[in-house]
Amino acid sequence: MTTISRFMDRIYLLGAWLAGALLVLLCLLVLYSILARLVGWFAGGASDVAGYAMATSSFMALAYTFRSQGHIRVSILSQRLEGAKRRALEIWAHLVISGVASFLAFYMMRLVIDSYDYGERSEGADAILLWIPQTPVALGSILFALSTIHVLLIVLFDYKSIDPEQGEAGGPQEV
Amino acid sequence: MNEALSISIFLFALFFLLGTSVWVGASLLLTAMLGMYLFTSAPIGDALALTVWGSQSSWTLTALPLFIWMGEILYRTNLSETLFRGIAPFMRRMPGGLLHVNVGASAIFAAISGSSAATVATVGKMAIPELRKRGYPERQIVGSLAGAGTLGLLIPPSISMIIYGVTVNESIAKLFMAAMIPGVCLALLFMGYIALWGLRHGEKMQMDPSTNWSEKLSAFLGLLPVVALIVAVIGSIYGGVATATEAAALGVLGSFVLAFLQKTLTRDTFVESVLGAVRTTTMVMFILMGSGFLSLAMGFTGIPKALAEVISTWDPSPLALIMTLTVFYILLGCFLDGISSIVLTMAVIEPMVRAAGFDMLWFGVYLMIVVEMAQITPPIGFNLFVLQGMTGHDIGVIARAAVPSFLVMCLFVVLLVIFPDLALWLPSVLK
Amino acid sequence: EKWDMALAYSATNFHSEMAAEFAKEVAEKSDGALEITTHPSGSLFGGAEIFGAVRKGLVPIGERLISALGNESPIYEMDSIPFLATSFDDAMKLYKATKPTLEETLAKSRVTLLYSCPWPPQGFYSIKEAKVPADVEGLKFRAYNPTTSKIAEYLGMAPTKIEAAELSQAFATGVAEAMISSGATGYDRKLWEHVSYYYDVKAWLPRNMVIVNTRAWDRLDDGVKAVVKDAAANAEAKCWAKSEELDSWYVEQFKEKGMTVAPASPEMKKAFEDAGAKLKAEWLERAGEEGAAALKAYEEM
Ligand code: NA
Ligand code: NA
Repeated sequence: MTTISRFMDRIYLLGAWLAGALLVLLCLLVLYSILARLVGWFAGGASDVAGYAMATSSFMALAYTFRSQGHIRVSILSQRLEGAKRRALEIWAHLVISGVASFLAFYMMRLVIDSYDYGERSEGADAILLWIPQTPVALGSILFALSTIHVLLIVLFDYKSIDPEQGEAGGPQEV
Repeated sequence: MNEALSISIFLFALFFLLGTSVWVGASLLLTAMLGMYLFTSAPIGDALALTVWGSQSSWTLTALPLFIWMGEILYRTNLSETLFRGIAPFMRRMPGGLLHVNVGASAIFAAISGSSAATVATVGKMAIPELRKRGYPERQIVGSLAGAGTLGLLIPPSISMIIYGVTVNESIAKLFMAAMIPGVCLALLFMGYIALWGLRHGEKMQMDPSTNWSEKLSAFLGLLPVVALIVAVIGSIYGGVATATEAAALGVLGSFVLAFLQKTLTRDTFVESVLGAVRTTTMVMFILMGSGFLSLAMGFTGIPKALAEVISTWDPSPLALIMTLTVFYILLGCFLDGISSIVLTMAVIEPMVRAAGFDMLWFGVYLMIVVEMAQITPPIGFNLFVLQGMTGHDIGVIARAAVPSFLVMCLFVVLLVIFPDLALWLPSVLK
Repeated sequence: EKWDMALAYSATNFHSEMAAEFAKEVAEKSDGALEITTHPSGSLFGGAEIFGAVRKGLVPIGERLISALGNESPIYEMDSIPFLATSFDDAMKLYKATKPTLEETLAKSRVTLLYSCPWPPQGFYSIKEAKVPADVEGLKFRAYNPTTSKIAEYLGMAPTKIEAAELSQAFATGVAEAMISSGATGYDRKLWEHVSYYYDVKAWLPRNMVIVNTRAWDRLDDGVKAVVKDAAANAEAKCWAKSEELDSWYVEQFKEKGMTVAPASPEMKKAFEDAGAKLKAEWLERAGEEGAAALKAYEEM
């Protein structure tokens, strides 16, 4: 179990690295559009590709951000609960997010399949077949769904290891 | 189904999910799904996927991650420290001290960025650690940042104002001019509040040691690189080199150049800045997915439009109309971000406002302020979320800290109603 | 039955106003059997998503700029071949001649055409007086797709990509110096604040189309279908007339606001038409037999 868990964490981190690389790419693409204008080239699809890079970047990092508690929630109630009640609340919250994330992942895949079947193209100057940039986005959403299920399983079967009542302070949210 | 019932369902679902510690993005998505299921026959999942894809790959949004990255670089490369060291000597005597930097920096940064989330994220990343070091109370740090961040949309350039201008056929250039003086005034009001607070509680924070003039001068010279960066980015927008969206990338490039010149750019700071930016961006994007889909669900139900129609049947006097609309937009802001509020309601609101004889430029400025107030009210307020992500405080704590800023904005709306020339004078002179 | 109608443009835009009238007429004449709610300003789905949303049945009905779908099929670009149809009469002929081909192409996406209405013709906006082609050489020309970018190239201008949202700002700051666009765009964005010359070249008349998801359409009773078709025909006729009326009104407005409005000089006209001829040839290459047949039908009309 811990081996698999550690393996998955590596994958999330890999997603985050990829997201970082795409952020750099996004910046370079925008700089390229500025340069192109100065020199008099037509940057055409650059802004479309920048959009795809951003979407992929956000989706690829969803899992890593979730696992490292980067997504936010309201903890007014949970901070007042202790022991079994707190655990029940955690289970509920993790059930909801794994449900929502799986739903999202399923339909992002359907979006890709539909775009592929139909041969849908971008309306921008890039004229790209949309399933191409949509596929990595769907993969990111699947990774996100896996990470939520992963943490749900930990909450269900290995609650000790992430018990929020132990060591509440600190954590990655700190500046 | 009648509007009151559907609103209650939305409210209950959203508050229940948020209250039971479900992540904000997931709460918004699930509330929207529930709404779609109850009120429309549209296929929920496919609509979700198309909306999410459309909004997340949209080019107008690309400025947000880039500005967040810029904040991360400045934070990790001592530039923020230089900035504070440069300003601190001049703030020693000011009641409220360096808290004014929150407002000043937000106002300046607002002139580069078009969104308030980016403003809060960038300024907060630099200011929070410095202010904490000097022992300023968290409440004041967070509260003033939340409020001042809203300047991001008021001080041009501003994405919401462009959307408004296109929706009601107003000149965007004039709208930007109209917002200039109100933006500065609102910033001064925030500072006024901080000064008042400082007069009463000033002893709580530790001042930087007194300095002589040569030390002051050298600290001040330390400000020059940051000033140069800001001037370069603003200059690129108004000099016709880059559009407001593209300027974000120049900001990132400029920050790297500065960090390189100051020899604070290492492989590690680079990697850390990228990963930090990715985390903050992704956190905001997950919530944006939720709010985008909720906006679609609300559009299908027609609630915002129906509410706006209810107001129009009351046929209120101009003053009563403005008061009603203020409440209306603050309420909508519980669920929607500013742009969605504008897009979903303007079709009904615009004729009402024109009929009441308001100048659409003035109304645009007013609208920016009221939709911005929604950014700092719970449960859905993006400035609050960004600050929660950065400080780790719960949103309830942050929202309470932001109450004074909220009241300052209310006061400013009153001032804007009494003195409409705050908005209208500049465009009329520059014509 | 209740339908939601996705519109990309703001409620006060004449296309949206016509759509609202169309919705009203359908509701009245079908005695409420079909109620259509319009959602302007892209408040449901943004412009780029509307065609996909209708195709997938996420909304039963919507409106989209036809030429925006040019990447899917060259047939969608027929109304935007530069200097092919440069008046409302010619645009109507082109519409009639190419309608069957357009409907066939739409049918492949399981979408049915209800009506189609043009924007006022595309004029040439420039910050400088343009008497001869040399005057515009080197200007930064706002291009938004490959066709407009080629026009710039053929006229020696530098094509630059500006998104619609940043149009006014781009002209205000000199990021863009010239463009080809409808009088409606120039009026809505108040371009006279930054641009001094408008040449009424009527380069082409791009059209919007109102489309419905075919499955949703087939679910309607025949009686309701007849009502919708009637209302669509009425909306189409009114919308074409409105577009023509607005065209001259926009030009008047430009004059009133101090812009220099003129027809293109013979030299400029020739340069534009040469560019148009090249683009037509390029389009024919892409469009294959189907496109060639449709074009022939128009030219023989
Ligand atoms: Na701004
Ligand atoms: Na709010």
